[in-house]
Order: sequence, then C-alpha cells, then structure tokens
Amino acid sequence: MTPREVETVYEALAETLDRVGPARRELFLAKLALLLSHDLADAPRVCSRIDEAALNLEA
Amino acid sequence: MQGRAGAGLLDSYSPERRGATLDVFANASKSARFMTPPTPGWQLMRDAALNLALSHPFAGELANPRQMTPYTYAESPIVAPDDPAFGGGPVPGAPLPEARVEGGFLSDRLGPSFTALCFDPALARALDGLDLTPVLLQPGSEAAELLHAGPASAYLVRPDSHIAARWHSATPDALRQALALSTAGGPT
Repeated sequence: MTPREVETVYEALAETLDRVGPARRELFLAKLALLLSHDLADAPRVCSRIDEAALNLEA
Repeated sequence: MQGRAGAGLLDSYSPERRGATLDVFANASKSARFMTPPTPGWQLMRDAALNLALSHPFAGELANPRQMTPYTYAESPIVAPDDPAFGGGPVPGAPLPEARVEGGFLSDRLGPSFTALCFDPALARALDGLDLTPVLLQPGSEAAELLHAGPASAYLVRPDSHIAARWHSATPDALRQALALSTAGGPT
C-alpha cells in the first residue's frame, strides 16, 4: 500500500468508528478483523498480527 | 459376515472411532463456548461472528459445531498414506464426496463391498478377479474434477464409503495391496 492508500484506510476507519458510536465500536472492529482475516486467508500471519497489535497497549 | 476380513481388521476399529469420538468432544466444547461465552472476549467474538454472518456466510460456520460432518479416519491403521501427486480432493480416510454421474449420483455406483473408482478402461478391466466393484468414470467429468483425478488415477472406496487409498497413477497391484490392507488389517 502506498502512504496515500494507508491514509485512505485510516480516514475511513476514523469516520466509521465515529459513526457506529461507542457502544458498537468493539463489535465493529471484531467484525472487521474477521472479515480481513478471511480475505488474507493466512491464519498464522493473522495470529502473529494479533500478538503484535496487543503489544504496548499501556504505553 | 462373509468371512473375508482378517483378524487385524478388528484392531483398527478402536483407533478409528476413538479419533472420531475426540472430534465430537472437541466440537461439543467449541459449541458450548459459542452458546455460553465464558468471558467478554469470547462474547465479543461470538457477537461479531453472528452479526457478520448476516452478510457473509463464512462467519456462520463459526456457529456450526459441525457434529454432523463425517469424521476423516486419517490416523487409522487401515487407511493408506496419501499419494502426494494429488493437488487436492478428498484424502484417504475422508468420506467420498457426492457428485453427479451420468444422470445419477456417484454414491449410487458404489458396490456392496469395496469399490475402485477408475478413469482408465484398461485399469478397470485389470481389476477383474479382485473382490471389489470397479466403476469407470470419465476423465474431466464432475467426479474427476472433485477427486482431482487424472486419466490414470484411482480411488479405493470402503463399504462405509470412506476412502481407503488413492493413487494419481494407479496400478492393479497397488489396488490389490491396498485392498488386502483394508480387509486384513495388514499386507498379505
């Protein structure tokens, strides 16, 4: 992905997170994770990304 | 009872069903975890899967405990190792998938005992005298595609319609040996 494409995704996520509202944000993100995992079709890679995303959450 | 099986066959019964039983247990606990999520994390993922399933059917499979899916007897002592020349299709131990064959179904063509699915008329003829039903299928047919079979391939199917062995390039002798393994519980 080009920096411009990353930015497009970033904006779409920010806007959609606001639109779905605080009560449904978690549900939305979990659905999105399942959908993207299905597209990626690489379970070991998804699992290692899950571990990476869980790093430094308290920083 | 026809007196054709060896004593070793009995010893294969427990390993086959033990594997299937463990599979049922694993599915039952997966199912329970789905019905009653033990923690907020499990609950969120359950809700996400159910909600996603409304638009994307793949997510619904997470809710299906799959207890009705026949078990693949891959660890059975009377199931042959797979032929690595296959690029897909059902492996030995798996149930034979259904396919349309000339206006009927593949399962209708199976014999009362073992069945050899062949795609080469010469191979099918060479199996004369073996205690099995040869079934000649067309290369390129729906069944051939489903089984990833080439013109020289063959599948040996058990009376319970699980696959005993398969070869991408079969020989009559390989079929004879696999039939002996499947009925006697060991090579004869």
